Amino acid sequence: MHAEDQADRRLLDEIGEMLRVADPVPDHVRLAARSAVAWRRMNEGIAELLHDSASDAAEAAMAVRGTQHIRALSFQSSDGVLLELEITGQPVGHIVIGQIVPESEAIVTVRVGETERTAAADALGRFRIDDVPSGPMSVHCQLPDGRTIVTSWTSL
Amino acid sequence: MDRDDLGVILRAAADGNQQAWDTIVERFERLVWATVRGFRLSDEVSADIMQITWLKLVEKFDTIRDPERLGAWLATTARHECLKHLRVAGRAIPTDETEVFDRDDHRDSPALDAALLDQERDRALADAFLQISESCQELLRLLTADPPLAYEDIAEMLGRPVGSIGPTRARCLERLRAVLTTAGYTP
Repeated sequence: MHAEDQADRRLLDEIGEMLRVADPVPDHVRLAARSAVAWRRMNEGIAELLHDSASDAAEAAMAVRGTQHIRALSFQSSDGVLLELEITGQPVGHIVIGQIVPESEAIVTVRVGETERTAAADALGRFRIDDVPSGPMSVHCQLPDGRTIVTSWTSL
Repeated sequence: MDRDDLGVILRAAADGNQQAWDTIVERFERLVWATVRGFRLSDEVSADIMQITWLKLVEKFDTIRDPERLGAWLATTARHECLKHLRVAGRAIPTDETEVFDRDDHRDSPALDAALLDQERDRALADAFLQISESCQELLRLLTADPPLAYEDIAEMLGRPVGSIGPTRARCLERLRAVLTTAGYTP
């Protein structure tokens, strides 16, 4: 190994040690991490994210340039139920407007961290939930036929 | 912890074993944190992204076929969430171009708490670190992550050729040395 490489290695070690001490993982972050395993969901199919306008750089840039800041998300369950969401308002107090396809009444709960907000979807499968905070979000829909749709976690 | 142990621990955590899960968190929290802190995000957003990374792992236990890849999976997931956050927030989207590493674009990087450092030299190093470009800071955080990431994984995360990581590393360290020297320290 060249002397230069050794010097670089030493400096990197110093940087690693400095960061470990000067930028520790906060205790509340570690505590939250330990509780994450409680969200393990047995026997519940997860509705996977199909599309997120925030994952598309061009679309995201357009949303920011426009007057409306709308983020569009869609999820699909393994048995084909589609959940479409439009999210407006930042950075706190988001409004979540949703549509269940095929249309169905449902009890819808938006979960963000410790906060839960619940609303009913109408016969056309439409719902609106206000005052949703930022953070890791999952949406839970209880359908009248007993089925439950739970979305994958997504950052809000 | 060797690879087989990690496989056993992963399976136990997937079955809801809290101790196994705590072991995973303890083992990889520095790596995930290093990845997230490479971006100019507030403490609150950094915490949220760290949490969603764990939640996604809990959701995807079944899909982790190779425990040896868990670190890279967590870091990649966390970085993806950071980029998504930046797009939603309408902030600068990092590009894959080399010029990014040459720009002097340090702005509100996550603060390092120099008060936690005993040695004056370490405080000088923290100061100097915050003065190099954001891209260099991110790369150096990834290169000093614990447990370490392979160059291949770092290159893939950054969307850069593997062969560019070594030279970029050298350039970033050179900048850091220059700042340290100006401040009166021998790097």
